[in-house]
Formats: sequence, structure tokens, C-alpha cells
Amino acid sequence: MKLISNWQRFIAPLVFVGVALVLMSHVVESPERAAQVTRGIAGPSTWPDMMLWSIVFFSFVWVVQVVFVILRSTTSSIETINPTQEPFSDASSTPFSLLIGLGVIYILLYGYLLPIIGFATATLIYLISWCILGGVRKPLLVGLIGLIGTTVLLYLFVKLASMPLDRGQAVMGEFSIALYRLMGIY
Amino acid sequence: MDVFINLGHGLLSALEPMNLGIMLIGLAFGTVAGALPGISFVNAMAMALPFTYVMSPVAAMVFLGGIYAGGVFGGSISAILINIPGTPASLPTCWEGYSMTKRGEAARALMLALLASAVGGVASALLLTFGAPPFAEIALTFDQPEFFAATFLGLISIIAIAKEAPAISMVSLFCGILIGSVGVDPLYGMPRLTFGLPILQNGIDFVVVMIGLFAITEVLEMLGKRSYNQGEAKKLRMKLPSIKELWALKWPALRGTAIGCLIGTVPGAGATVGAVVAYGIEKQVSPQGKDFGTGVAAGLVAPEAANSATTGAAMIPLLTLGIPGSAATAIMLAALVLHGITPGPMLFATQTELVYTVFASLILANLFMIGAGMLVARGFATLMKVPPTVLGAFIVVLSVVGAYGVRNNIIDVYICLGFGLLGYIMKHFSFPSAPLVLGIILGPLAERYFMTSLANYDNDPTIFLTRPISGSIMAFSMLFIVWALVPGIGGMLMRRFTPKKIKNLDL
Repeated sequence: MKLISNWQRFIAPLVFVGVALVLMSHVVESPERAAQVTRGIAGPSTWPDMMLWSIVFFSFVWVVQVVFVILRSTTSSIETINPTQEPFSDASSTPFSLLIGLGVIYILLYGYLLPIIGFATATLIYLISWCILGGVRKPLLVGLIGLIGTTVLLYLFVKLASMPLDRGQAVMGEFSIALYRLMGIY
Repeated sequence: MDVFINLGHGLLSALEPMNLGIMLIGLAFGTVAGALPGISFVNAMAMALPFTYVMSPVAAMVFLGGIYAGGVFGGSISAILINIPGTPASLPTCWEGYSMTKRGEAARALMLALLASAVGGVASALLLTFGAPPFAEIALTFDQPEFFAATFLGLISIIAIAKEAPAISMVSLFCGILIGSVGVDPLYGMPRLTFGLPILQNGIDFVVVMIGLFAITEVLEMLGKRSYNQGEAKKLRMKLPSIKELWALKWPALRGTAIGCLIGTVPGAGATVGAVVAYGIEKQVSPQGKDFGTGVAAGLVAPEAANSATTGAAMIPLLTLGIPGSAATAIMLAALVLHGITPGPMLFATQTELVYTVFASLILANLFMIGAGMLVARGFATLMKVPPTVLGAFIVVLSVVGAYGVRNNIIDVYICLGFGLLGYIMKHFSFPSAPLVLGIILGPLAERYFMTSLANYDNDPTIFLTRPISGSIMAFSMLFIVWALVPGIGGMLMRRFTPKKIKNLDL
């Protein structure tokens, strides 16, 4: 169970209320134009507005639930406080660590580099660096995973599925095309 | 009697070596495509459509039917083994199937899912064969308010699934629906919640969000733990469960099948609504309902039977009325039209052989799916023999390709990765992600039906309650909410007003 104080339990629902209230005035770029188009009947902002009000309503229910649980905990010291029960049993048991932080950076870098250096090169670099990050230390194994993995993925998605994956910019684009030609998939 | 004779002819035609071979290829292709995150069976059917030009109409329908049946099950393989739903309809499969895998019961979960899918699929194919005309008449009375009511039922099923924390789950659900409404609105063409960013005008695709929330989050978890349950995967032996075990699951399978058949006939509702509603109802009626989410077989069997049961049922409005109720049946309609065949009431009279061959091949496809599913699952399971780090690396690449493949747009990759990180944070703070995903999947559908209903019926919001069928579905939805929440509220009140002494004794 996470050890958080009573007042901290109110932060999340109140953040949802705040964000929903702010978003209400930004659903459409021009509310006047939307009103003109719809002339008083259900318009483009009707549905998102309904959802935003629902978020506000259920966030308040959430607050009431937290109050209820806190009150209950004061009447019984044995009962535990757990307003955010885990309905889908998917709560993380893994604490945030430097390794996960690095993993996040690696994934974001992979996404960033894809259009710049192309799918083939970015995937090769990503596979190798992720394996090293994950503790695979044998250089031959790491190299083979990167090379074979990238080759199989290229055949699967470029050749068989004919997906127009990013080839990269400038010289990297030419490199990708040369590689595809060499592999017979271009 | 004519039906049996026609079905016999259809079976003979479907068992011709050429048709049988094409069906098996379709089955295998559909199962593999369904198992790969981001490539749904609809994508696979769309990819296969050009190949049907060179086939006979019978072979074309048999091929597409095979992909459809295989693809709906295929999504469950990755859902069970790596907690990534291959298709949106496999979302409930993750909740119980992956929990079973974590417990070392991956082979059992796969086998139960496979058999439940086969039961649901065969039952719906039989319904299609024998009950198409009366069901089609009912489907013909459906209009936008009824479509909205059916989608609404799918959305509120989350109440039963998450009744332990309904408020938080509802916040998550409405956030999902709100995210689903980002982009140009379906009726007026006006951008919403785009904040002037052109990249958001096309909206946020649910497949991209689903891949991010499930796959990327799972990879980060795997990296943190540096392990996952490998013991079962390394010796994944698919064997048939005992008759006793199967018999014990007959009611979840039958309930799932019935719900899938009913919802499948509603154009627009589809396999996802069927699976989620079946899961929600099963959680309510099952004696093990309170344990759902921890790997309960009944919670796996019901949605699996339901999502496969929608396949045959969805073809009823297609073949009898010419109305495609889903993207998959729309592709089938396209294949028929390309061959100069117009579906509708006359089809049964003019193309009897074609119709009954399609029925027979759908029955056969669901039976052969057991073998195809076992093979693909076994092949997929060998992936899990590799160390978690390496598997995680490939899951990220597959996720990126899957997200990119939705619209061939790099922005979708960024959105996918963003939702992956959000999913990790949500998981860390016990904020449920499943209602959010359900909202993103069904929200746009619900909005479209809601808005067109208002537009078609003088902006009258009571239309959802005054029309007999939509009113009945809405009333059932309300009863469902009460049914799901009353025991929880009652329990809370009981605890609140129970003397402390007794409360402590309970503990």
C-alpha cells in the first residue's frame, strides 16, 4: 500500500476538476462560430462538454469517496485506507528506477531518430543499445540480435506488408534505399 | 429441410481442395495478423482484398471469412501471452488471460480461449445459417438511437468491471471518450480540442493509444523487473482441457455466445462491445465475480466466446439486407460487389450455393481455427523463450511499426510513445487504464450515433428512451448499473453502520 497523507489523496481528483474546467473554454477554437452553425441545437462542442462535465461530476464523487474512507479510518484503526483500489489488478509493483528512466529516454530517442536516420538504422541502433541497457553483455549476441532482428523486421514490414516506413533524411535516405536494394526489398 | 440440403451442398463445396486450401491460408493469415499488435484482422482483410479479384466469388468469401474468424481469435494470443491486445476486442482477454499467464497457466489460458472462440464462432455460424431472415427483420428496425443504446451498454459495462472503484473508473472512462473526441467533429467538420495544432485535426486513433498503453507500459515494467514469467512459456504445451473443466465452463461460454450473437447483429456495435458486455455480465453473475482480474477462467471464456460469436452474427445484416455492420463486413461487401453480386433478400434465391458455402466455410473455419490457433500460439510462444530484455526491445519496435502503420504517420508513433509513458505513470498510481482505452474505442462511435440521432429526430434527447428497442436497451443498461453498484453500496453502508466490535471480528 502506498503511504500518502490524507490531503494528498485529494490532489488527483481536484487536478481532474481543474483541467476539465479549463478545457471547457477551449473545446472549439471559436465558440461564437460554433453557436452560429448550430443555432442552439446540439453542436460540435456538445459531446466533449458532456464528457467534461461528467469528469467534473465523477471527480467530486471521487473526492466524496476519499472523505468517506478517511472518516471510516478514523472510526476504525484496523481498517486500511485504500481509496484507489485496483479494479484491474494492474497496479505497478516495479518502483521507478534509473533503469526505467533510461528505458524511457531510449524509447523517446528511437521515436525521435526514426524520421531522421530511417527505420533500418534507427532500429538496429535501438535494438543493440536496448539489449546492452537490459544487461545482455556478449558483443556477438548483441550484434546478431540487432542485425538479424532488423533484417527480419525489414522483410516483414517493407517487403511483405509493403509499409512505407521512414527511410530517413538526406544521405540516410539514400543509404536506406541502397540497403533495401541490397536486400532485394526495394 | 431445404436448409439442411443446401448446407450439405455448401459443406461439399467448402471442402473442395481449392476452397479448403484458401480458407486455411486465410485462417493462418488472419490469426497471425490478429496476433501482431497494430495489424488487426480488418487491416489483414483490407490487405487481402486485392487478391480476391482473381478468385471466384465463393473462394473470395471463403478466404475473407477465414481471415475474419482467425483474426478475431488471433488478437487474444498476444493479449494472453504478453498483455498486448492484438485487436480491440481482445481487451477483456488481457484482464484474465494475462493474469493466468503470470500464474504460469499460459497454455491453459490459450486453450480455453481457443475453444471458447470456436464455440462462439460455430454457434454464430449456425445462427447465421438457420436464423438469418428473422434476425435480419429485427436488425432492419434498428436506427441511430438503437445503435447508440447498444454502444452505451458497452460503455457502461465498465461499471460492473470496476465496481470496486467506480468513481475513478468513470473518470478514466470519460477521459478516454474525451480523447476520442479530439479532432474534426463528425457532423459539422469543426476541429475540437486541437489547440490550433494541425497534427491533432485527424484525431487520436484508438489503436495507437491501445498499443502505447499496453505494450510500451509492459516493456517498461519488464525492464524494471528484468524478468517475466518465463517458466510456462518455455514449455508451452497446448493440450485439451479435461471434459470436467470444460463442462464447468459451459455457462460462461453459452452466456458469452448468446451475448455475442445478439450484439453482433446490431450494425456498428461489433466484437469489442460484445466482449466487454459479456465480461461485465459474467463478472456479475459468476460466483467468482469478485476474483475477476486475477485470472479466472470464466472471465476469459465469456468474452472470447462473445467476440467470436459476433463474426457470424455480423454477417446476418450483410447477407440478408446488404448492410455492413462493421469494417470487416464492409470489406466482404466490397468483395461481393466487385464480383457483381448484390447482397440482399434476393441473394438467398439467386446465389444459393454461394450463400450456403459461406455459411459452411464459416462453420469449418471456426473448427479448423483450433488447429491454426494452436500452431500460431506455439510459434508466438517461442518468442517468449528469448530473454525479457530482447523481447521488450522487439515489442517496442513492433509497437512503433504498428502505430506508424495505422495512418503511415510518424505523429502516431509519438502519440503511442506518449501514451506508453502515461500508461506507466497511471499504473504506478493505480489509475485504471482499461476504462480509458474502452472510452477511446467506443467513444467516437457513441458520439456519432448520439449526434446523428439528435439530428434525425428534431434534437429530441428523449428519443433514446421513447423508441421501444433503444428504450429497452437503455432500461437494461440502467438496471445493469443498479445491479452492479447496489451490492457495493449496500456493502459500504453495512460496514459504515456496523458496530465496531462486529467490524473487527469480521477482519
